[in-house]
Amino acid sequence: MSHAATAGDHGHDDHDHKPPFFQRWFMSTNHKDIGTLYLIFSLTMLFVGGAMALVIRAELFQPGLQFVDPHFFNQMTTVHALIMVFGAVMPGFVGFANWMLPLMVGAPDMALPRMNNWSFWILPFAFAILLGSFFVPGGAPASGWTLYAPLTIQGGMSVDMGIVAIHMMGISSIMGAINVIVTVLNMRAPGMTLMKMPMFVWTWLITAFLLIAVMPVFAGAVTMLLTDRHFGTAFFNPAGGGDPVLYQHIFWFFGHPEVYIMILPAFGIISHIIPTFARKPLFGYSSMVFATAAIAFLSFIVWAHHMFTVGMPLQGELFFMYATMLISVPTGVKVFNWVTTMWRGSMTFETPMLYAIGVVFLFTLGGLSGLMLAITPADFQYHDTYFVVAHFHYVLFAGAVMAMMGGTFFWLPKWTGHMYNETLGKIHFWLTAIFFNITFFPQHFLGLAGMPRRYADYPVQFTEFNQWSSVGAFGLGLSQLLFVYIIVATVRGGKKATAEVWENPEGLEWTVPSPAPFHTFDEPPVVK
Amino acid sequence: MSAQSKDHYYVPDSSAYPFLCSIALFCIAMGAASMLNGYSFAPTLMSAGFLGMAVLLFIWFRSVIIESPDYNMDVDRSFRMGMSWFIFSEVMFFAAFFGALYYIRMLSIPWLADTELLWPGFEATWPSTGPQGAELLAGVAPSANSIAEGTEYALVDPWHLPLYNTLLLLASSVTLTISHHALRAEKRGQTIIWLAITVILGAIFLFLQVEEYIEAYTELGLTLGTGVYGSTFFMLTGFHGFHVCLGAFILLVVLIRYMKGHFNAERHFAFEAGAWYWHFVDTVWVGLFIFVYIL
Amino acid sequence: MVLSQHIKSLSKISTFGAFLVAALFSGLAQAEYRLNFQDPVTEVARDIFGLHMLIFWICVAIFVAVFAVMFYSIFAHRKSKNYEPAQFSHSTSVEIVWTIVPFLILVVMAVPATQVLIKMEDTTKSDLTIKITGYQWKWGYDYLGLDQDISFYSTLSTPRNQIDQFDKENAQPQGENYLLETDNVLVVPSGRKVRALITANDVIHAWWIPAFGTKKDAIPGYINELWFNVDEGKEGIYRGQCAELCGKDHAFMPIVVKVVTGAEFDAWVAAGGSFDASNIADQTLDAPSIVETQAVVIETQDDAPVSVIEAIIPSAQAADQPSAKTWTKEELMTKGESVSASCAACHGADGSGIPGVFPAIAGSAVATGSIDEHIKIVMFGKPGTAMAAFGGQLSDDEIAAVVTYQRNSFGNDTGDIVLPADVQAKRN
Ligand code: HEA
Ligand code: HEA
Ligand code: HEC
Ligand code: CUA
Ligand SMILES: [Cu+2]
Repeated sequence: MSHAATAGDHGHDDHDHKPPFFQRWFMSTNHKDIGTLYLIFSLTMLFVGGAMALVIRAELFQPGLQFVDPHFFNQMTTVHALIMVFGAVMPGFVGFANWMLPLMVGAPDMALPRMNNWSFWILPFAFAILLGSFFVPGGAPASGWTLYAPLTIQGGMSVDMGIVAIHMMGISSIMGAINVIVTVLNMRAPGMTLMKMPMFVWTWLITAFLLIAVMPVFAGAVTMLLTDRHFGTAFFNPAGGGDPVLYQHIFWFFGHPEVYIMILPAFGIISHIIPTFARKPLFGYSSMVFATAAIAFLSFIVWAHHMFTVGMPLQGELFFMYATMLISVPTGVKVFNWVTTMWRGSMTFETPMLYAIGVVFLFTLGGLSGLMLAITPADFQYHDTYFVVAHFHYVLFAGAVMAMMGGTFFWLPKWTGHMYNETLGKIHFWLTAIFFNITFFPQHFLGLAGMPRRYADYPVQFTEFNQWSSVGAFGLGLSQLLFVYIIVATVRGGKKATAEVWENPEGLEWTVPSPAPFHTFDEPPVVK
Repeated sequence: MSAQSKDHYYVPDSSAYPFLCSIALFCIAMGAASMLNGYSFAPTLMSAGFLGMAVLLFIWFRSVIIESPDYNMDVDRSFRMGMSWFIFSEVMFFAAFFGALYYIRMLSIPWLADTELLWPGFEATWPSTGPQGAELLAGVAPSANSIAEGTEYALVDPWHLPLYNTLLLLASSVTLTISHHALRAEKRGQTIIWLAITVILGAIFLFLQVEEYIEAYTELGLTLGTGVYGSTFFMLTGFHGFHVCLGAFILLVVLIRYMKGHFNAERHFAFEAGAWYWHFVDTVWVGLFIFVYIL
Repeated sequence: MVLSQHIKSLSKISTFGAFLVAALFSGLAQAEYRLNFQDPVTEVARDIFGLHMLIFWICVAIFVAVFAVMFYSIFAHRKSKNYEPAQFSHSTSVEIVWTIVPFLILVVMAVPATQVLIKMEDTTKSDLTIKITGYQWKWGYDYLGLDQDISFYSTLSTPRNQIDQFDKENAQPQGENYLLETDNVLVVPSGRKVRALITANDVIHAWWIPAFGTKKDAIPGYINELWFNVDEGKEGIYRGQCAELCGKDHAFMPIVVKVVTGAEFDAWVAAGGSFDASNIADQTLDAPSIVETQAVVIETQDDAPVSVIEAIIPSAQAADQPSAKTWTKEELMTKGESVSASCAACHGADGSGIPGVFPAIAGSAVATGSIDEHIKIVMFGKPGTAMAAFGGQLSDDEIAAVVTYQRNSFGNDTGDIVLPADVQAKRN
């Protein structure tokens, strides 16, 4: 049924007419509701994956095995990462895209609304399979989130469940990405040229391109795993002429762009928050766009920096080292642009701004440790130690997840029509930032001193920093309960938000009332 | 909301298909994983999934077709873009397998041959079943689960069936284009005939491909388990064959819809989408013919 | 693991919070920790350390510079100070500068990095070649090109009750070299270029000695190379760990290298067994020395006193000549129990395995069925699974003993006795 057919029954200007519960939440074609579903899903997964991280941290509190056996520990590591990456961060950003892209480009909805809903609904089922694998004989996949062959060839049924779950997540991501690209390229309001698009739209456009380019490659990699496991192929079996390292190449051809898939939308969000609270336009808009594109381009030719120790030929190692180092240049451009946006602004420090500043600060720290990892000879020492773990939690948690938190506070009034409690928001920021650093900063030292990652147990000299890290992790976890409380409280009530919410923010999303009506931009706005 | 007319972007009402399709997909996926591990309920679950998916997609597409008069050119453009990006994702899927082929031929086989210490006497040749092929055949090494049949195999002669198949697919691209031109020129009879010929060429292709597989398995000793050559050969041609099936099916549906009068000279997105897909499948085949069969 | 065990584990975690803080602060005192790399003992490791510190300080400098600007701005350009916002939004010249300058900084980092890398990859002109093989979960070492074969395995020697802290009753406190000690150690000379050929038998492992600045993945079917040349004067014990996830006991396959002087090494090799182990025992480092090694191996070998070299090259040679000894069932069972410690990693000390991953031996169709099949799977393993071929690692005596043991324990009471001769018949 179309709106055309039902328009008569529903009356004309009833922008807020919402369908009954089941129809609204399970059959939705509304980008805002689907966005909400994505965001709730993402938050849930953050807790599930976080709970697993807490199991890891509990076991690592002291040397020796206190709580779980090593096999279960490996399952925790693996599923923690898969859940966080594919369940928390990626869907989280898709949620933001769903909510904000149509509002930002002045479109009535996403371009392909039913497919949009399908993209979402695949996810709960995919994760049901992934989490269900805990209950089959042998437990969940235990080979690390990278699922390296031949370790995965050894695993039990859970590996197959993991693989089909990944296929489903891939289908979901590809459909979601197609939707984003089509919406952005086809549904912009008249007058909104590409170079007038808000940064978040740009970063998502490029992210979507990355997704479509690499998710199928990942699907191909795990398909080869599956046939090696069950149908006698020898892609990764040297006896038959294959190579285990081939898996790594294919995986990281996906895996490296994947990490930028998780950070570019965060860059987009930051690029909205900082100008708003600096009361000054974003510095260097066009260089921001080009830097994002450059990062995306480079991300395709650096993958083997995850594999410096597999014994590549020297020329290969040099090439991948140089290419990886180059990514620092466009990323640096972004950081400098943000700092310059703040320069001589008139800043206030509401929660979203605190988050944005925190993200820039901590992401840069993580980015610089990434640059250290890129230096091949040094990476021989860092590789597969907690130094790497520290690096990627700085860019992933402090970069991606904290950007999502900042984005949530930034747009929550628009979504719910209520202002959140500013004091609690600030407390949440400080708790998160401090506990985050207690958790992950010591891991740098652990890694340098030689603690390998994916270890259920470790030599005694690593005890102290692990204890800091574990205490920090529990603090970090508990602090997130406050996050949930603030959101729930804001949904249920609070000071009414104005349409603009903040002082003179830029963008179409601030021209519609708060909460944003169920349907917006039936008539496309005109952008000058 | 305001009445939906052609000057508005068509936003469909809520729909149960996506949710139901997700359930079907779940059944397929879970069914597949359980089947590989020998659960007796698995085939039922998987078939139910496939059946459900087929029915749902049928209904879903049907409702799109019914709505389509309400679509304006913007919606049409969304569909086109969506289809192109979908094809791009398919390209990348094949790229993974072509990449694997390249890597194995150009890097891993020579490296294995250089590894005297572990694989004495193994020489880098292509095609190859890898270093253990000979021992396995001689029964010296315990049979690895990865190498089922040993190494005595012969190659598929590229200048026989594969060449016919290449010609068939290339011809089908031409016939499809003729049909498209006829459609634009509103020559109904010609459109139908050339489109039908395209589908038939596709079907013959598939038939020959099955022949080739049977021959490979029964006469040449070339199987999925014949080392890495068998793996790359069957995975690449197999996934391609699967895509031909899909493409031919799409064109068949387009043909039926055309006969029912669904398209006109200006608006025939489904026809074009099918045609793009077909050309994509064709191009992949040319890559296969060169890199898998000839070189 | 089955579900109930998961739940048990998780409920244990909930009690964790209670002693968390208390334990933290009591823990502080005992730990001796470091913030940076271990002291390098090879030229390459020193180069890496220098490179590491160089890039580290460059990064610190960049970080400080960027955030000095940002925090100044945060401090000075805030609304509460009634600061009026400027409205500039781009400046081509500034943008060019901050593209070029970082690029130049990168060049400064890339040059030394390239030099060190080229040096690291040059494995030519080595004085000694050792083949290193990763197994789930131990290391195998073969010295190549020496007059006599030296090859042995090296397994974690930390007692299980230091590791398992699940039940506090039987748990022991961890020793100083907890998880960093092995039964046999790799012996290498200082002052000579040692080339290692690294491979693996089952899954990928990685051989890593931080103090040498070496880390390479051990990839089944392929050989990777690395080299190190330990400075003279730096003889001693060096420890490392497996650095690539290789399954359940990834954390439990350490590497211990004993560096001796060139002369000592030559004596060790040339004397072919008469080498006096006490010369190279390194008491100051309080590490498992060759002496201890000998002791460990002697326990499992029932012949008269063995020399050091025999002690570290146990099975391969022994395998050629099945002992003439006549075995009783009791002897086989006792020996079998000790050998089966290396099976317990997967099949469990009680033979229960891990369902779905490692089959139980208790009640197993193989271990209660055909003896031939049983011997075969132990000798040749099952390719494509974690079940490795133990034929090369264990002597006929040991295989016979462990098979006998498995067929008569964990409730498998077949009563069968398997003799070394039965095993030998299956070889070749
Ligand atoms: C959001 C995710 C994210 C992001 C953005 C990054 C960003 C970067 N990463 Fe990271 N990385 C991961 C997620 C991410 N990474 C993950 C998950 C892993 C581990 C995977 C696994 O094994 O499980 C990993 C691992 C990883 C490795 C492999 C380590 C190993 O296993 O041995 C390497 C090596 O090169 C690396 C490098 C980099 C670099 C150079 C960047 C750069 O993009 C950073 C660029 C940013 C800056 C440099 C800071 C800002 C710049 C300036 C202030 C300008 C001035 C600077 C200079 C001139 C130097 N990363
Ligand atoms: C976006 C990605 C992301 C995020 C957000 C996180 C978040 C966290 N991660 Fe993780 N992590 C990865 C991605 C991520 N991680 C990846 C890719 C790996 C590599 C895996 C591999 O090696 O294969 C990894 C590995 C990894 C390790 C190394 C494991 C190993 O090598 O064995 C550790 C160890 O400390 C760790 C810890 C944490 C912690 C403490 C958090 C904290 O930030 C989490 C904070 C906690 C919460 C937010 C949840 C709050 C929960 C509660 C309050 C409890 C309530 C409980 C219920 C409701 C059930 N992670
Ligand atoms: C690294 C893990 C590992 C180690 C160590 C190991 N095994 Fe196994 N074992 C396996 C796996 C996995 C299988 C299942 C192989 C298969 O899929 O058939 C197996 C199977 C077996 C079987 C057949 C059981 C059955 O019912 O199919 C026997 C007997 C056996 N192992 C004996 C041993 C002995 C004896 C040792 C020690 C000398 C040992 N294993 C060490 C992993 C291991
Ligand atoms: Cu061997 Cu990890
Ligand atoms: Cu990367």
